[in-house]
Amino acid sequence: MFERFIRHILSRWVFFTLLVLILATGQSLCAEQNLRTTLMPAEVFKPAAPAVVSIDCIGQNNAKISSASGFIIADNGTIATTFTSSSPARA
Amino acid sequence: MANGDVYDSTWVVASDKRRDLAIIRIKAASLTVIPLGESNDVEVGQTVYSIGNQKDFKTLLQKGLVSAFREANGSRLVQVSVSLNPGNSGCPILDEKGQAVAVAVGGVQGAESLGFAIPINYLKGYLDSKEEPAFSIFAESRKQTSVPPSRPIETIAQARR
Repeated sequence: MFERFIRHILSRWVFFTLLVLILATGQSLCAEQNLRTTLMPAEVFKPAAPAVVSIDCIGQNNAKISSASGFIIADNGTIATTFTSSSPARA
Repeated sequence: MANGDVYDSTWVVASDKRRDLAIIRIKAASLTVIPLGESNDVEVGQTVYSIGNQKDFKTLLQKGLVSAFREANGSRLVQVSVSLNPGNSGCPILDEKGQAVAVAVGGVQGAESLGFAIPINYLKGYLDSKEEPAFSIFAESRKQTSVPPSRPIETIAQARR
């Protein structure tokens, strides 16, 4: 009788321990996923750097007059920049 | 381009003088893209990054914070604690997910870590539009773009009046 009682208690204890472990693991995985949405500076830079372009203004004598930046927003060659960067040069 | 490629032909697909924004095209395919974020979700105090060109230094990474939101001539400006120097104009302001949330338009000359950017949602409006390009110029020409250095905020405000 006593032995059966002990077994019952132990089986319940094992069950609850496993349940707690599973829940804790799930929570930590979720927390890790949330953390991963915030990237480190190097992780931000690495994929974005190849999409940053330089927009140069070339003068009549083929010399660079000035330079600005832009970035690719579609893989077909669409680039976002400022209006002043894209305005035609004044003679 | 960051990989050294040079494209001489450029088309202006859309432009917004008031907000100092433009979308241009080059003849290319399968390029690396910066995903566009949601500028309405940007908050003061949020960490942001800029990747731009300054003089002969290409793709410089800077880290800063969103300092404030400003208004000038009917559009919002994001003030960031990033030094936006000549050459940075047009560079992306990225959030911590690596998504572009603004386009750098200039800084205050003589002041460090004081830059201004246009929220990316203004740009998205042109991407969603199915209208024909406003104008198309610069075809087959290398003497196309005039790129003044980053302007102080006073100049930006004057230009918008």
